[in-house]
Amino acid sequence: MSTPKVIIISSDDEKFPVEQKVAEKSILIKNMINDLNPDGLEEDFEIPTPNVRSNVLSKVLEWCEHHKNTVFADDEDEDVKKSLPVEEWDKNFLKVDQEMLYEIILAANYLNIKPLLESGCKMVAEMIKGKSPEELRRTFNIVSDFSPEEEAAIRRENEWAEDR
Amino acid sequence: MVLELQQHQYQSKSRKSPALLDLPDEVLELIINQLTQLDIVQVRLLNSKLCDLASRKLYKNIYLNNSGPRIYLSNKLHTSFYDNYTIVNDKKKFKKVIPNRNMKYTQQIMFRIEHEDEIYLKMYIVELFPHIVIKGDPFDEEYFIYSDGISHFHLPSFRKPPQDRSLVNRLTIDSPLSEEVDIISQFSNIAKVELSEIDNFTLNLLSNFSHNFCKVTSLTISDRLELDIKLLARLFKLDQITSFQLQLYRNLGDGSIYSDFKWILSQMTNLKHLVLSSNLGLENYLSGQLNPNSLLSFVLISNYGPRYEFTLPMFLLEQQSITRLCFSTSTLETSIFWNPNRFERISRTNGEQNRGDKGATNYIQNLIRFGKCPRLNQFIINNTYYFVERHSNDSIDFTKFPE
Repeated sequence: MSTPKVIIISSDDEKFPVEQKVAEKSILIKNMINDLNPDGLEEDFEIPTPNVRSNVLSKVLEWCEHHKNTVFADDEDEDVKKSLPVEEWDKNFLKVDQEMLYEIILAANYLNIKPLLESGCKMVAEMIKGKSPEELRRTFNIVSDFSPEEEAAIRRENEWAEDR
Repeated sequence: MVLELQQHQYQSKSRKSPALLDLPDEVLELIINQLTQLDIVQVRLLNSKLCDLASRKLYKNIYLNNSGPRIYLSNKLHTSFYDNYTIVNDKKKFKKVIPNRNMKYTQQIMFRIEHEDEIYLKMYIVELFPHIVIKGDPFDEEYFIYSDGISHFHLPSFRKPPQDRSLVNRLTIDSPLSEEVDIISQFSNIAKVELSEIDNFTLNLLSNFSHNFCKVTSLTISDRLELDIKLLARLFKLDQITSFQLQLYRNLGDGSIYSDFKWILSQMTNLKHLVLSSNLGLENYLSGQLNPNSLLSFVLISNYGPRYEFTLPMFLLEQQSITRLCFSTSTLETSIFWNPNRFERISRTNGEQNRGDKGATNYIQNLIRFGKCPRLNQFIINNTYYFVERHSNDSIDFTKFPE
């Protein structure tokens, strides 16, 4: 008998059979497998992910497959991790349009895949860096809900923190 | 192209594509945490939701650079220090924004140096926002101790001690009036004492309060007078002192200071941190006094003319346990070479001038490049910080602040 697979089902009912190791990059799925199969997987195990569409899920699983043997640093090294740039492979992998990037981030957040979530957030942070408020509003399609007076007040308040 | 477009339309019909603002708050906070303060202030201007999330980060940990060189900010800075703290170069601008509703997000405010001017600012903050922790400089806190405005009491006093006297754990005594010292009897939790310009008469007065000093583990003496330092043994339990700071600047008397210094060190059997600042060449009498491998940090500020070339290296060899080292011009520079791989922190200071800075920087950078200091992640030369970046391909870069 071949090793049992984990079959992840997208919101639009597409099935993705993957190795257990790959699926367990998601802590949500890992806990689900362990909770429901305390003695280990004996047969194929289906997990529906009603929040994740197939085009996003296939992308996320591509990441999991690539990183199936990667050992990620512990949470304790938060400081070190935070200051590191996005790893080269992840960077290329996440060169997608904004909507897809957010879909991947939402999926990584929902499935609890921290390293992917972090890489995604760093990519968005890169898009923010060095831009003026006007550029940022254009890039991210954000409409201001401040009155001119409120905006002026925030500008004044900002002064203490932007004294280079 | 047409196909892609159609697909996109199909998707947006079936479900709206997410935008930045559709991300949950905790994810937006993760993104904001990746930004430097210069970008965060821009994000605050976008809309009210982002303004609130960005303020949480901007106000969380604040570093008040209230003295010394300005810290240059740039969007490129990424070390844990810059990631954790919002740096304020102009404290006047900061004073303008307090009180401020965003300070409910503030966890701590750190002052670069303690200064009496700041006491009122500190008290004001503590009163308005009692949840905020006020601290000293992260780079110096190993050597110097900072005030939070409550636990620290000064003699001569310029304000009242807190109602609850047990909150006072630090006492600074700086040539007080004799009638003032009685207040010491009200304190029972003093762990840190700083004596400054105390004469033997006052020291004798203080010895009446030795039971109020029985918990003292940290002792700082600065003296330009003829203080009999042997008298300290009557005030303090020297064997429980872990941190000792001695600043002695005066003309040589009968020379008994050397034997007294040696004696007092030999009594401090649990000493972990030593700061020595003098013009008397006391550093040449360090060797052989302390238990081997007991000291963790050592600061030496010396402008003693004649040098004994072998005693300092000898001392560093006896104290292999020292991992943090701070020294003034050339006094210890060459001694680093003795077993450099243990050092976690090295700093050099020579007060006013920058003479020899370049040589010292090159020297330490070379030690690091040759892999001699694997545990050293930053070093400081006269208030300039050098952060060591080791890359996976074995190359090493140094980032300098201020640039």
